[in-house]
Amino acid sequence: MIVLVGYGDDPCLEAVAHAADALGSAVLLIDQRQAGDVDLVLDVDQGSVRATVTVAGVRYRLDELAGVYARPLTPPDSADGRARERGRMLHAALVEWLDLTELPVLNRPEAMLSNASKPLQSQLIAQAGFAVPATLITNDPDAVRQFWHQHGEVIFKSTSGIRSIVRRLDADSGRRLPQVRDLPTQFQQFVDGSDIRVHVVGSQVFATEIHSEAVDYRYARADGLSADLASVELPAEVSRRCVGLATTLALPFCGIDLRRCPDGEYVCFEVNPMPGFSYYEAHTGQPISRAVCELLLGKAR
Amino acid sequence: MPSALILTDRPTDPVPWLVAAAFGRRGGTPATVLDTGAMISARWDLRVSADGRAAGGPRWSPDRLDGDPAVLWCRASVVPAGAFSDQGDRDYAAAELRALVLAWMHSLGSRVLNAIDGDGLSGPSWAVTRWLVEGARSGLPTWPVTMATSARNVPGWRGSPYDARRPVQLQPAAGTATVLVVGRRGYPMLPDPLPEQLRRGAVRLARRSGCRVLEVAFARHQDQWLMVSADPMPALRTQTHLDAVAALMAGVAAGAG
Repeated sequence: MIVLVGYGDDPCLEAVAHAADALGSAVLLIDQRQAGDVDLVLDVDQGSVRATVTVAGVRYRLDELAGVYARPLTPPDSADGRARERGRMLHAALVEWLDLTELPVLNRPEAMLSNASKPLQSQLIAQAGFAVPATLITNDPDAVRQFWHQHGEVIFKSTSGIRSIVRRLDADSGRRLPQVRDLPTQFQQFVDGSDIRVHVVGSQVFATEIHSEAVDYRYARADGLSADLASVELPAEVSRRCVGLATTLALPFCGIDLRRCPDGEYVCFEVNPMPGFSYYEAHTGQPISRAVCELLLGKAR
Repeated sequence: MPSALILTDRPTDPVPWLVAAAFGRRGGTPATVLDTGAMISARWDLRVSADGRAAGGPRWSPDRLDGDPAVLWCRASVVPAGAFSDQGDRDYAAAELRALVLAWMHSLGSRVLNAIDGDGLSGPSWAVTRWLVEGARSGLPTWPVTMATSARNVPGWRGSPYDARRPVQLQPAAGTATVLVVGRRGYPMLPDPLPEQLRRGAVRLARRSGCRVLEVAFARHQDQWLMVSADPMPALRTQTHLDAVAALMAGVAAGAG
Protein backbone atom coordinates (compact mmCIF):
# COMPACT_ATOMS: atom_id res chain seq x y z
CA MET A 1 0.00 0.00 0.00
CA ILE A 2 1.29 3.43 -0.96
CA VAL A 3 0.69 6.42 1.32
CA LEU A 4 -0.26 9.74 -0.26
CA VAL A 5 0.08 12.90 1.82
CA GLY A 6 -1.30 16.31 0.90
CA TYR A 7 -4.50 17.83 -0.41
CA GLY A 8 -6.87 15.19 -1.73
CA ASP A 9 -7.69 17.14 -4.91
CA ASP A 10 -4.03 17.65 -5.85
CA PRO A 11 -3.72 16.50 -9.51
CA CYS A 12 -0.34 14.94 -8.81
CA LEU A 13 -1.67 12.84 -5.93
CA GLU A 14 -4.64 11.86 -8.05
CA ALA A 15 -2.35 10.79 -10.91
CA VAL A 16 -0.29 8.59 -8.58
CA ALA A 17 -3.45 7.13 -7.05
CA HIS A 18 -4.68 6.14 -10.53
CA ALA A 19 -1.31 4.65 -11.42
CA ALA A 20 -1.23 2.66 -8.20
CA ASP A 21 -4.69 1.30 -8.93
CA ALA A 22 -3.55 0.26 -12.41
CA LEU A 23 -0.62 -1.57 -10.81
CA GLY A 24 -2.96 -3.32 -8.39
CA SER A 25 -1.67 -1.49 -5.34
CA ALA A 26 -3.88 -0.03 -2.66
CA VAL A 27 -3.51 3.59 -1.65
CA LEU A 28 -3.95 5.31 1.70
CA LEU A 29 -4.68 9.01 1.30
CA ILE A 30 -3.94 11.25 4.27
CA ASP A 31 -5.87 14.33 3.16
CA GLN A 32 -4.84 17.52 4.92
CA ARG A 33 -8.16 19.04 3.91
CA GLN A 34 -9.99 16.38 5.93
CA ALA A 35 -8.03 16.75 9.17
CA GLY A 36 -11.23 16.25 11.13
CA ASP A 37 -11.47 12.70 9.76
CA VAL A 38 -7.81 11.82 10.28
CA ASP A 39 -6.14 10.86 13.54
CA LEU A 40 -2.37 10.51 13.74
CA VAL A 41 -0.19 9.44 16.63
CA LEU A 42 3.58 9.73 16.30
CA ASP A 43 5.72 8.07 18.98
CA VAL A 44 9.48 8.55 19.10
CA ASP A 45 11.30 6.53 21.75
CA GLN A 46 14.98 5.55 21.96
CA GLY A 47 15.41 6.05 18.23
CA SER A 48 12.34 4.01 17.34
CA VAL A 49 9.73 5.88 15.26
CA ARG A 50 6.17 4.61 15.21
CA ALA A 51 3.23 6.28 13.51
CA THR A 52 -0.36 5.11 13.45
CA VAL A 53 -3.07 6.83 11.46
CA THR A 54 -6.81 6.35 11.52
CA VAL A 55 -8.62 7.34 8.34
CA ALA A 56 -12.37 6.86 7.96
CA GLY A 57 -12.38 4.66 11.04
CA VAL A 58 -9.64 2.30 9.82
CA ARG A 59 -6.34 2.19 11.69
CA TYR A 60 -2.98 1.71 9.93
CA ARG A 61 0.58 1.27 11.16
CA LEU A 62 2.32 3.58 8.69
CA ASP A 63 5.73 1.93 8.99
CA GLU A 64 4.20 -1.34 7.75
CA LEU A 65 3.24 0.20 4.41
CA ALA A 66 5.31 0.33 1.21
CA GLY A 67 6.28 3.98 0.76
CA VAL A 68 5.13 7.56 0.73
CA TYR A 69 4.48 10.14 -1.96
CA ALA A 70 4.21 13.43 -0.08
CA ARG A 71 3.09 16.86 -1.21
CA PRO A 72 2.39 18.45 2.18
CA LEU A 73 1.02 21.97 1.89
CA THR A 74 0.20 24.68 4.40
CA PRO A 75 -2.70 23.52 6.58
CA PRO A 76 -5.99 24.84 5.17
CA ASP A 77 -7.40 27.85 6.97
CA SER A 78 -10.57 27.53 9.00
CA ALA A 79 -12.79 29.81 11.02
CA ASP A 80 -13.04 27.00 13.58
CA GLY A 81 -10.18 27.30 16.07
CA ARG A 82 -10.22 23.61 16.93
CA ALA A 83 -10.09 22.61 13.26
CA ARG A 84 -7.14 24.96 12.77
CA GLU A 85 -5.19 23.44 15.65
CA ARG A 86 -5.93 19.89 14.45
CA GLY A 87 -4.81 20.84 10.94
CA ARG A 88 -1.58 22.36 12.28
CA MET A 89 -0.80 19.31 14.43
CA LEU A 90 -1.54 16.93 11.57
CA HIS A 91 0.81 18.89 9.33
CA ALA A 92 3.55 19.15 11.96
CA ALA A 93 3.42 15.47 12.92
CA LEU A 94 3.36 14.36 9.28
CA VAL A 95 6.34 16.52 8.35
CA GLU A 96 8.35 15.20 11.30
CA TRP A 97 7.39 11.60 10.49
CA LEU A 98 8.36 12.05 6.83
CA ASP A 99 11.87 13.04 7.90
CA LEU A 100 12.17 10.21 10.45
CA THR A 101 10.58 7.15 8.87
CA GLU A 102 12.68 4.46 7.26
CA LEU A 103 10.08 3.99 4.52
CA PRO A 104 10.98 5.31 1.06
CA VAL A 105 9.68 8.90 0.89
CA LEU A 106 9.26 11.08 -2.21
CA ASN A 107 10.50 13.51 -0.89
CA ARG A 108 11.69 14.15 2.64
CA PRO A 109 10.95 17.71 3.82
CA GLU A 110 14.53 18.23 4.96
CA ALA A 111 15.84 17.48 1.47
CA MET A 112 13.46 20.01 -0.03
CA LEU A 113 15.03 22.87 1.94
CA SER A 114 17.79 23.53 -0.62
CA ASN A 115 15.15 24.99 -2.92
CA ALA A 116 14.43 27.71 -0.35
CA SER A 117 17.54 29.56 -1.61
CA LYS A 118 18.15 29.52 -5.35
CA PRO A 119 21.76 30.76 -5.19
CA LEU A 120 22.50 28.15 -2.51
CA GLN A 121 21.00 25.46 -4.70
CA SER A 122 22.97 26.72 -7.71
CA GLN A 123 26.19 26.04 -5.83
CA LEU A 124 25.03 22.46 -5.18
CA ILE A 125 23.87 22.00 -8.77
CA ALA A 126 27.29 22.98 -10.09
CA GLN A 127 28.94 20.44 -7.78
CA ALA A 128 26.95 17.77 -9.64
CA GLY A 129 28.57 18.82 -12.91
CA PHE A 130 26.05 21.22 -14.43
CA ALA A 131 26.75 24.74 -15.58
CA VAL A 132 24.52 27.33 -13.96
CA PRO A 133 23.63 30.85 -15.16
CA ALA A 134 26.00 33.59 -14.05
CA THR A 135 24.18 35.22 -11.15
CA LEU A 136 24.31 38.47 -9.21
CA ILE A 137 22.27 39.21 -6.11
CA THR A 138 22.63 42.82 -5.16
CA ASN A 139 20.98 45.97 -3.84
CA ASP A 140 23.37 48.19 -5.81
CA PRO A 141 21.87 49.58 -9.03
CA ASP A 142 25.32 50.32 -10.45
CA ALA A 143 26.37 46.71 -9.95
CA VAL A 144 23.27 45.62 -11.87
CA ARG A 145 24.05 48.00 -14.73
CA GLN A 146 27.59 46.69 -14.90
CA PHE A 147 26.35 43.07 -14.90
CA TRP A 148 23.79 43.95 -17.58
CA HIS A 149 26.45 45.55 -19.72
CA GLN A 150 28.71 42.49 -19.26
CA HIS A 151 26.09 39.90 -20.21
CA GLY A 152 23.98 41.84 -22.70
CA GLU A 153 20.71 40.17 -21.80
CA VAL A 154 19.69 39.68 -18.17
CA ILE A 155 16.63 38.33 -16.35
CA PHE A 156 15.55 38.80 -12.76
CA LYS A 157 13.58 36.57 -10.38
CA SER A 158 13.13 35.75 -6.71
CA THR A 159 16.06 34.57 -4.60
CA SER A 160 13.97 32.39 -2.29
CA GLY A 161 11.66 29.49 -3.07
CA ILE A 162 8.71 31.85 -3.39
CA ARG A 163 7.50 31.53 -6.94
CA SER A 164 8.04 34.54 -9.15
CA ILE A 165 7.64 35.22 -12.84
CA VAL A 166 10.98 35.38 -14.59
CA ARG A 167 11.27 38.75 -16.33
CA ARG A 168 13.75 40.16 -18.76
CA LEU A 169 15.54 43.34 -17.71
CA ASP A 170 14.54 45.93 -20.29
CA ALA A 171 14.40 49.71 -20.63
CA ASP A 172 11.23 49.95 -18.56
CA SER A 173 12.41 47.77 -15.65
CA GLY A 174 15.88 49.31 -16.01
CA ARG A 175 14.43 52.69 -15.06
CA ARG A 176 13.24 51.11 -11.78
CA LEU A 177 16.67 49.78 -10.82
CA PRO A 178 17.06 52.23 -7.92
CA GLN A 179 14.30 50.19 -6.20
CA VAL A 180 16.75 47.34 -5.64
CA ARG A 181 18.19 49.46 -2.82
CA ASP A 182 15.10 48.40 -0.83
CA LEU A 183 15.81 44.67 -1.20
CA PRO A 184 18.63 42.69 -2.83
CA THR A 185 17.34 41.12 -6.05
CA GLN A 186 18.59 38.18 -8.09
CA PHE A 187 19.75 38.85 -11.65
CA GLN A 188 21.00 36.20 -14.05
CA GLN A 189 22.52 36.17 -17.49
CA PHE A 190 19.90 35.27 -20.06
CA VAL A 191 20.70 31.82 -21.43
CA ASP A 192 19.51 31.29 -24.97
CA GLY A 193 18.18 27.89 -25.92
CA SER A 194 15.34 25.42 -25.46
CA ASP A 195 13.68 24.69 -22.13
CA ILE A 196 13.94 21.06 -21.05
CA ARG A 197 12.12 19.89 -17.92
CA VAL A 198 13.54 16.60 -16.67
CA HIS A 199 11.63 14.51 -14.15
CA VAL A 200 13.92 12.11 -12.33
CA VAL A 201 12.26 9.18 -10.58
CA GLY A 202 14.95 7.05 -8.97
CA SER A 203 17.15 6.07 -11.90
CA GLN A 204 14.54 6.84 -14.55
CA VAL A 205 14.61 10.07 -16.53
CA PHE A 206 11.68 11.68 -18.35
CA ALA A 207 12.65 14.71 -20.42
CA THR A 208 10.21 17.20 -21.92
CA GLU A 209 11.10 19.95 -24.35
CA ILE A 210 9.02 23.10 -24.16
CA HIS A 211 8.66 25.34 -27.17
CA SER A 212 7.54 28.83 -26.25
CA GLU A 213 8.36 32.44 -27.04
CA ALA A 214 7.73 33.40 -23.41
CA VAL A 215 10.68 34.15 -21.10
CA ASP A 216 8.91 31.98 -18.47
CA TYR A 217 6.87 29.30 -20.26
CA ARG A 218 4.89 28.60 -17.08
CA TYR A 219 3.19 31.95 -17.60
CA ALA A 220 3.10 31.94 -21.41
CA ARG A 221 -0.66 32.23 -21.53
CA ALA A 222 -0.65 35.26 -19.22
CA ASP A 223 1.69 36.91 -21.72
CA GLY A 224 -0.59 36.02 -24.62
CA LEU A 225 1.78 33.29 -25.80
CA SER A 226 1.65 29.51 -26.00
CA ALA A 227 3.81 26.61 -24.79
CA ASP A 228 4.07 23.31 -26.65
CA LEU A 229 5.44 20.25 -24.85
CA ALA A 230 7.00 17.14 -26.34
CA SER A 231 8.99 14.19 -25.04
CA VAL A 232 12.65 14.35 -25.91
CA GLU A 233 15.64 12.04 -25.53
CA LEU A 234 18.60 13.40 -23.61
CA PRO A 235 22.22 12.48 -24.30
CA ALA A 236 23.13 9.61 -21.99
CA GLU A 237 25.71 11.68 -20.16
CA VAL A 238 23.18 14.43 -19.39
CA SER A 239 20.69 11.84 -18.11
CA ARG A 240 23.39 10.43 -15.85
CA ARG A 241 24.15 13.92 -14.54
CA CYS A 242 20.46 14.46 -13.80
CA VAL A 243 20.25 11.25 -11.78
CA GLY A 244 23.48 12.18 -10.02
CA LEU A 245 22.11 15.62 -9.18
CA ALA A 246 18.91 14.12 -7.74
CA THR A 247 21.03 11.78 -5.62
CA THR A 248 23.30 14.61 -4.45
CA LEU A 249 20.26 16.60 -3.29
CA ALA A 250 18.60 13.49 -1.75
CA LEU A 251 15.57 14.09 -3.98
CA PRO A 252 14.76 10.75 -5.64
CA PHE A 253 11.80 12.41 -7.36
CA CYS A 254 12.43 15.90 -8.68
CA GLY A 255 11.92 18.23 -11.60
CA ILE A 256 15.14 19.61 -13.06
CA ASP A 257 14.94 22.74 -15.20
CA LEU A 258 17.53 22.74 -17.98
CA ARG A 259 18.14 24.87 -21.00
CA ARG A 260 19.79 23.29 -24.04
CA CYS A 261 21.98 25.92 -25.60
CA PRO A 262 22.53 26.30 -29.35
CA ASP A 263 26.04 24.85 -28.92
CA GLY A 264 24.57 21.69 -27.38
CA GLU A 265 25.57 22.45 -23.79
CA TYR A 266 23.06 22.16 -20.98
CA VAL A 267 22.62 24.79 -18.26
CA CYS A 268 20.64 23.98 -15.10
CA PHE A 269 18.46 26.65 -13.50
CA GLU A 270 16.78 24.90 -10.64
CA VAL A 271 15.74 21.61 -9.08
CA ASN A 272 12.10 21.49 -8.01
CA PRO A 273 11.72 19.19 -5.00
CA MET A 274 7.95 18.86 -5.31
CA PRO A 275 7.39 18.93 -9.08
CA GLY A 276 3.91 19.50 -10.48
CA PHE A 277 4.58 16.69 -12.91
CA SER A 278 0.96 16.01 -13.87
CA TYR A 279 1.00 18.96 -16.31
CA TYR A 280 3.89 17.38 -18.22
CA GLU A 281 2.51 13.85 -18.02
CA ALA A 282 -0.83 15.01 -19.37
CA HIS A 283 0.79 16.70 -22.38
CA THR A 284 3.35 14.01 -23.21
CA GLY A 285 1.94 10.71 -21.97
CA GLN A 286 5.15 10.03 -20.07
CA PRO A 287 4.46 7.38 -17.37
CA ILE A 288 5.86 9.47 -14.53
CA SER A 289 3.17 8.56 -12.02
CA ARG A 290 3.67 4.86 -12.81
CA ALA A 291 7.40 5.27 -12.22
CA VAL A 292 6.66 6.91 -8.85
CA CYS A 293 4.50 3.96 -7.81
CA GLU A 294 7.03 1.42 -8.99
CA LEU A 295 9.79 3.16 -7.07
CA LEU A 296 7.75 3.19 -3.87
CA LEU A 297 6.68 -0.43 -4.31
CA GLY A 298 10.25 -1.55 -4.87
CA LYS A 299 9.53 -2.47 -8.48
CA ALA A 300 11.57 0.28 -10.14
CA ARG A 301 13.14 -0.63 -13.44
CA MET B 1 44.74 38.39 12.62
CA PRO B 2 42.02 37.21 10.24
CA SER B 3 38.60 38.73 10.78
CA ALA B 4 35.92 36.95 12.77
CA LEU B 5 32.18 37.61 12.76
CA ILE B 6 29.48 36.70 15.25
CA LEU B 7 25.90 37.23 14.11
CA THR B 8 23.13 37.58 16.68
CA ASP B 9 19.42 38.37 16.71
CA ARG B 10 19.23 38.82 20.50
CA PRO B 11 20.48 42.27 21.43
CA THR B 12 20.34 41.50 25.17
CA ASP B 13 22.36 38.27 24.90
CA PRO B 14 25.83 39.02 26.31
CA VAL B 15 27.45 35.84 24.94
CA PRO B 16 28.47 37.21 21.52
CA TRP B 17 30.28 40.15 23.09
CA LEU B 18 31.91 38.01 25.76
CA VAL B 19 33.18 35.54 23.14
CA ALA B 20 34.36 38.44 20.97
CA ALA B 21 36.31 39.79 23.93
CA ALA B 22 37.82 36.37 24.62
CA PHE B 23 38.77 36.11 20.94
CA GLY B 24 40.41 39.51 21.09
CA ARG B 25 42.45 38.57 24.17
CA ARG B 26 44.14 35.92 22.04
CA GLY B 27 45.86 38.76 20.21
CA GLY B 28 44.97 40.83 17.18
CA THR B 29 41.61 42.11 16.03
CA PRO B 30 38.61 41.32 18.22
CA ALA B 31 35.71 39.54 16.58
CA THR B 32 32.99 41.75 15.13
CA VAL B 33 29.51 41.28 16.56
CA LEU B 34 26.63 42.26 14.28
CA ASP B 35 22.90 42.11 14.69
CA THR B 36 21.20 40.33 11.79
CA GLY B 37 19.47 43.63 11.14
CA ALA B 38 22.81 44.71 9.71
CA MET B 39 22.04 42.42 6.77
CA ILE B 40 19.47 44.97 5.65
CA SER B 41 21.87 47.91 5.77
CA ALA B 42 24.72 46.08 4.05
CA ARG B 43 25.68 46.63 0.46
CA TRP B 44 25.15 43.19 -1.07
CA ASP B 45 27.09 41.81 -3.99
CA LEU B 46 26.97 38.02 -4.10
CA ARG B 47 27.87 36.38 -7.40
CA VAL B 48 27.65 32.79 -8.55
CA SER B 49 29.65 32.02 -11.66
CA ALA B 50 28.71 29.50 -14.33
CA ASP B 51 30.80 26.84 -12.60
CA GLY B 52 28.96 27.40 -9.32
CA ARG B 53 31.65 29.27 -7.46
CA ALA B 54 30.26 31.96 -5.22
CA ALA B 55 32.07 35.15 -4.31
CA GLY B 56 31.23 38.31 -2.42
CA GLY B 57 28.51 38.89 0.11
CA PRO B 58 27.48 41.69 2.45
CA ARG B 59 29.79 44.65 2.74
CA TRP B 60 29.89 47.34 5.35
CA SER B 61 32.48 50.00 6.05
CA PRO B 62 36.02 48.54 6.36
CA ASP B 63 36.21 49.54 10.01
CA ARG B 64 33.17 47.35 10.67
CA LEU B 65 34.23 44.25 8.77
CA ASP B 66 36.80 44.09 6.01
CA GLY B 67 35.70 41.59 3.35
CA ASP B 68 34.52 38.04 4.06
CA PRO B 69 35.12 36.76 7.59
CA ALA B 70 37.70 34.05 8.18
CA VAL B 71 35.26 32.50 10.66
CA LEU B 72 31.55 33.06 11.26
CA TRP B 73 29.51 32.00 14.26
CA CYS B 74 25.81 32.56 13.70
CA ARG B 75 23.70 32.78 16.86
CA ALA B 76 20.53 33.78 15.08
CA SER B 77 17.33 32.26 13.83
CA VAL B 78 15.74 35.39 12.39
CA VAL B 79 16.74 37.75 9.59
CA PRO B 80 14.50 40.82 9.80
CA ALA B 81 12.70 42.06 6.72
CA GLY B 82 13.22 45.78 6.85
CA ALA B 83 10.76 48.65 6.69
CA PHE B 84 7.89 47.57 4.46
CA SER B 85 4.40 48.79 5.31
CA ASP B 86 2.57 45.83 3.80
CA GLN B 87 2.71 42.50 5.68
CA GLY B 88 2.90 40.58 2.42
CA ASP B 89 5.88 42.66 1.35
CA ARG B 90 7.55 42.14 4.73
CA ASP B 91 7.05 38.37 4.48
CA TYR B 92 8.45 38.31 0.95
CA ALA B 93 11.42 40.49 1.90
CA ALA B 94 12.20 38.33 4.94
CA ALA B 95 12.21 35.17 2.79
CA GLU B 96 14.38 36.82 0.14
CA LEU B 97 16.93 38.14 2.60
CA ARG B 98 17.08 34.84 4.48
CA ALA B 99 17.68 32.97 1.21
CA LEU B 100 20.48 35.38 0.37
CA VAL B 101 22.13 35.10 3.79
CA LEU B 102 21.98 31.29 3.59
CA ALA B 103 23.55 31.28 0.14
CA TRP B 104 26.35 33.54 1.39
CA MET B 105 26.93 31.38 4.47
CA HIS B 106 27.02 28.26 2.29
CA SER B 107 29.68 29.89 0.13
CA LEU B 108 31.86 30.35 3.22
CA GLY B 109 32.01 26.57 3.66
CA SER B 110 33.85 25.35 6.74
CA ARG B 111 34.42 28.92 7.94
CA VAL B 112 30.90 28.75 9.40
CA LEU B 113 31.03 27.06 12.81
CA ASN B 114 27.74 25.14 12.55
CA ALA B 115 26.76 23.72 9.15
CA ILE B 116 23.60 25.29 7.78
CA ASP B 117 20.77 23.70 5.87
CA GLY B 118 18.26 25.40 3.57
CA ASP B 119 16.46 26.93 6.52
CA GLY B 120 18.61 26.88 9.66
CA LEU B 121 21.03 29.76 10.14
CA SER B 122 22.70 28.46 13.31
CA GLY B 123 22.71 24.75 12.56
CA PRO B 124 20.30 22.14 11.22
CA SER B 125 16.63 23.12 11.43
CA TRP B 126 15.71 19.91 13.18
CA ALA B 127 12.58 19.38 15.27
CA VAL B 128 13.01 17.95 18.76
CA THR B 129 12.02 14.47 17.51
CA ARG B 130 14.85 14.52 14.98
CA TRP B 131 17.37 15.65 17.57
CA LEU B 132 16.30 12.77 19.82
CA VAL B 133 16.45 10.18 17.03
CA GLU B 134 19.93 11.39 16.06
CA GLY B 135 20.83 11.36 19.73
CA ALA B 136 19.77 7.71 19.95
CA ARG B 137 21.82 6.95 16.84
CA SER B 138 24.75 8.58 18.64
CA GLY B 139 24.35 6.15 21.51
CA LEU B 140 22.40 8.38 23.89
CA PRO B 141 19.35 7.23 25.85
CA THR B 142 16.52 9.59 24.97
CA TRP B 143 13.27 10.87 26.42
CA PRO B 144 10.15 9.67 24.55
CA VAL B 145 8.02 12.15 22.60
CA THR B 146 4.44 11.73 21.41
CA MET B 147 2.51 13.92 19.02
CA ALA B 148 -1.20 13.19 18.51
CA THR B 149 -4.03 14.92 16.69
CA SER B 150 -6.43 13.64 19.37
CA ALA B 151 -5.34 13.37 22.98
CA ARG B 152 -7.67 10.45 23.64
CA ASN B 153 -5.49 8.24 21.39
CA VAL B 154 -2.47 8.61 23.67
CA PRO B 155 -2.29 5.68 26.14
CA GLY B 156 -2.78 6.86 29.70
CA TRP B 157 -4.24 10.23 28.73
CA ARG B 158 -6.94 11.56 31.04
CA GLY B 159 -8.95 14.70 30.44
CA SER B 160 -12.28 16.25 29.61
CA PRO B 161 -14.42 15.14 26.66
CA TYR B 162 -13.79 18.59 25.15
CA ASP B 163 -10.03 18.05 25.20
CA ALA B 164 -10.22 14.43 24.03
CA ARG B 165 -10.20 15.45 20.35
CA ARG B 166 -7.69 18.24 20.76
CA PRO B 167 -4.08 17.76 19.74
CA VAL B 168 -1.48 16.97 22.34
CA GLN B 169 2.27 16.88 22.30
CA LEU B 170 4.08 15.08 25.13
CA GLN B 171 7.42 16.81 25.29
CA PRO B 172 10.51 15.87 27.23
CA ALA B 173 11.08 17.31 30.67
CA ALA B 174 13.31 20.33 31.04
CA GLY B 175 16.99 19.48 31.11
CA THR B 176 18.79 19.64 34.44
CA ALA B 177 22.27 18.61 33.30
CA THR B 178 24.09 19.61 30.15
CA VAL B 179 27.12 18.89 28.07
CA LEU B 180 28.51 21.73 25.98
CA VAL B 181 30.32 20.39 22.92
CA VAL B 182 32.93 22.70 21.42
CA GLY B 183 34.82 21.17 18.55
CA ARG B 184 35.66 17.61 19.55
CA ARG B 185 35.44 18.15 23.30
CA GLY B 186 32.53 17.91 25.67
CA TYR B 187 32.39 20.26 28.64
CA PRO B 188 30.05 19.10 31.41
CA MET B 189 28.32 21.48 33.74
CA LEU B 190 29.91 21.53 37.18
CA PRO B 191 29.36 19.67 39.38
CA ASP B 192 29.06 16.97 36.73
CA PRO B 193 26.41 14.33 37.45
CA LEU B 194 26.61 12.68 34.03
CA PRO B 195 28.42 9.46 33.19
CA GLU B 196 31.35 9.79 30.80
CA GLN B 197 29.57 7.85 28.03
CA LEU B 198 26.92 10.56 27.80
CA ARG B 199 29.58 13.19 27.25
CA ARG B 200 31.06 11.05 24.47
CA GLY B 201 27.59 10.53 22.97
CA ALA B 202 27.04 14.29 22.97
CA VAL B 203 30.27 14.77 21.03
CA ARG B 204 29.12 12.15 18.51
CA LEU B 205 25.76 13.90 18.16
CA ALA B 206 27.45 17.22 17.50
CA ARG B 207 29.51 15.61 14.74
CA ARG B 208 26.42 13.95 13.20
CA SER B 209 24.59 17.25 13.15
CA GLY B 210 27.48 19.23 11.67
CA CYS B 211 27.62 21.45 14.76
CA ARG B 212 30.92 22.49 16.26
CA VAL B 213 29.07 24.28 19.08
CA LEU B 214 26.17 22.35 20.59
CA GLU B 215 24.65 21.97 24.02
CA VAL B 216 22.96 18.64 24.79
CA ALA B 217 20.59 18.56 27.74
CA PHE B 218 19.60 15.64 29.94
CA ALA B 219 16.95 15.05 32.58
CA ARG B 220 16.66 12.42 35.24
CA HIS B 221 14.01 9.73 34.78
CA GLN B 222 13.83 7.08 37.50
CA ASP B 223 17.43 5.91 37.74
CA GLN B 224 18.61 7.04 34.35
CA TRP B 225 19.76 10.22 32.59
CA LEU B 226 17.91 10.72 29.30
CA MET B 227 18.66 13.22 26.54
CA VAL B 228 15.86 15.76 26.23
CA SER B 229 17.09 18.39 23.79
CA ALA B 230 19.96 19.89 21.85
CA ASP B 231 20.67 23.57 21.21
CA PRO B 232 23.09 24.91 18.59
CA MET B 233 22.80 28.38 20.18
CA PRO B 234 23.66 27.58 23.78
CA ALA B 235 24.12 29.94 26.65
CA LEU B 236 27.80 29.87 27.61
CA ARG B 237 27.80 30.03 31.37
CA THR B 238 31.46 30.00 32.36
CA GLN B 239 34.66 31.65 31.26
CA THR B 240 35.96 28.20 30.34
CA HIS B 241 33.12 27.83 27.84
CA LEU B 242 33.62 31.33 26.42
CA ASP B 243 37.35 30.73 26.03
CA ALA B 244 36.71 27.35 24.39
CA VAL B 245 34.49 28.86 21.71
CA ALA B 246 36.93 31.72 21.17
CA ALA B 247 39.75 29.19 20.75
CA LEU B 248 37.65 27.18 18.28
CA MET B 249 36.95 30.32 16.26
CA ALA B 250 40.63 31.21 16.27
CA GLY B 251 41.51 27.74 15.05
CA VAL B 252 38.97 27.90 12.22
CA ALA B 253 40.14 31.37 11.26
CA ALA B 254 43.73 30.13 11.09
CA GLY B 255 42.63 27.29 8.84
CA ALA B 256 43.10 24.62 11.46
CA GLY B 257 39.42 24.03 12.26
